[in-house]
Amino acid sequence: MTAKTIKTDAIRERMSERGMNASDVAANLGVSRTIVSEWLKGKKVPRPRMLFELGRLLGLKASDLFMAPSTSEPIIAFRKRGNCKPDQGVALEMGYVLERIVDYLPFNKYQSPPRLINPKNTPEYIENVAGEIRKSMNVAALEIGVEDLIAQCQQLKIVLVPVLWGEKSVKYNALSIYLPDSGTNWVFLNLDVKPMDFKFWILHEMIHALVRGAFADTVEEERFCDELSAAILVPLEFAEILLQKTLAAEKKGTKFEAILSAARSLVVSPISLAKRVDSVAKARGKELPCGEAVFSENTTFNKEFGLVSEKYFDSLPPSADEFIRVSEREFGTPAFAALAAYLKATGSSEGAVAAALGISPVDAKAMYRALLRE
Amino acid sequence: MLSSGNERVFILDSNAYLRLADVLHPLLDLTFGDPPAKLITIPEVNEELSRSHRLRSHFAWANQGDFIADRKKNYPKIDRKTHGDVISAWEYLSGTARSEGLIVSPTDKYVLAYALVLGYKVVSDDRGMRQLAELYQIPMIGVIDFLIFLYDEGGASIETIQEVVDVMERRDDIPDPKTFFSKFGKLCQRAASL
Repeated sequence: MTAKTIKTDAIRERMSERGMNASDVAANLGVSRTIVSEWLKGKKVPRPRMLFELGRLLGLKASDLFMAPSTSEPIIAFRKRGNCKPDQGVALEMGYVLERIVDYLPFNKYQSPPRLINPKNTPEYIENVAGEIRKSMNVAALEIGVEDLIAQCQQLKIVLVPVLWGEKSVKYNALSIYLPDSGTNWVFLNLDVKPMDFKFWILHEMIHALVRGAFADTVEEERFCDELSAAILVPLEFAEILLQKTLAAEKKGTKFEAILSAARSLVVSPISLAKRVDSVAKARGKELPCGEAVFSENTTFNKEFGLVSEKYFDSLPPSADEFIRVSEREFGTPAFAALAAYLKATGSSEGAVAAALGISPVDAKAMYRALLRE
Repeated sequence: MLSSGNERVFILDSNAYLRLADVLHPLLDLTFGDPPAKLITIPEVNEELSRSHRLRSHFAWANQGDFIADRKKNYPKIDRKTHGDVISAWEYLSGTARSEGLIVSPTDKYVLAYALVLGYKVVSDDRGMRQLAELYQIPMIGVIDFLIFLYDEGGASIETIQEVVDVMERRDDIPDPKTFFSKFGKLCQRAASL
């Protein structure tokens, strides 16, 4: 810690407020008056323990005393959805850890990945960009597969980090962390989710990377990511045909089944699909006739699908070795090799793995051993 | 619940708990030596260890009911002001960890924060924690040093210590093996000479 990293002004101000001088502080902390004077002049910096005691004495928090770090703060993608909001504190801590691992990534450090030019939350812009992105993915079929999304993420130099965060106690379906100093985007993908949610979140986080810093309003950015994800997964022509089908069908059940059947064929959530079709309908002054019913039946629909993790591993839970092997093969992730290199280079312990991946200490122990064997 | 007399209190991090708790079960009931020494965990560690594991593991027992109940026994009993001090200490530790480039998990920083505020000793083999503990002059010992202390204070026989080490070895879970086995070998020699 250097003198520049401590706010000596804050110490002086608080001492003055409390009518304390260097001698009073020295007496309370059991140090010499000279050393306190040197702290106040910025010639010396209190050792961390002494800084903590000084803060306690003067009623100053760490944030009152520590200067902002020289590196920029990690940026955590905002999430508005109720049950999968990232805990900003935990995600930020993960970001700090990732900053240490960046040097071990096999990336070209000198070129930034491409971004969208002046993104706008308008239907025209979203449809045009969705079309371009689908074209660049070179997808022949109507359904966009996970592998298409992974390939696109790799082109954008997004570090995909598959994780098993559990289904029931899930904090996030996915988590996007951007590190400004290295320009790297890290996207954590929870494999313990349903396939339609999984595809949506990969795409959603990929779009966050494409528009990084373009929206001043995080809610607006989140809405853009939602709309564009839906537009890429469900092409306009498909949504229009489906709208016509639902409008033309006489029975409510037939309308409803048309949505569910389309959701099955595209492997998208009926809710995402209904929202997409509804937004196309609204742009034409109409309304999707069975939107509400789709919402209420979504849970039943979800039961038709297993978790993504069940697809990738022969049996659950997988061993850490299998987890790493499958993650590298299927997702092309460089994250585990980078983490392994970091652990070996620094002699770090299991705690570093838990902190980097946001996993439990029990899983971190298994991962740690497997990474050291890599 | 902790008494505040002249007990010597050791606070365990998650990994130290996982290394000791199944052989020495119920670990948190262990009181030994004079003045009495005992082990505690904190709610943050319990919460982490109680999370369901998603990878095949030797430590699946850690989120079973009797182990969870054991961990809850000796939470530090602290008032609101002290809890505020712990949070504040955590923030200082986080600031230092960041400025020094040390990786310490949020929960491990809580272990250090409690130890800093309450004056407890930490049992941990975590390298990042050790470096941060040194900067804050928080006393910290590794699992092998704790086992030696446990033996010396009459808290466990050498056979029990041997069993703990055997289990750790079977699980490929010996931290810094060279130092660990050197210290353990000396303990065994000492025990054999008695």
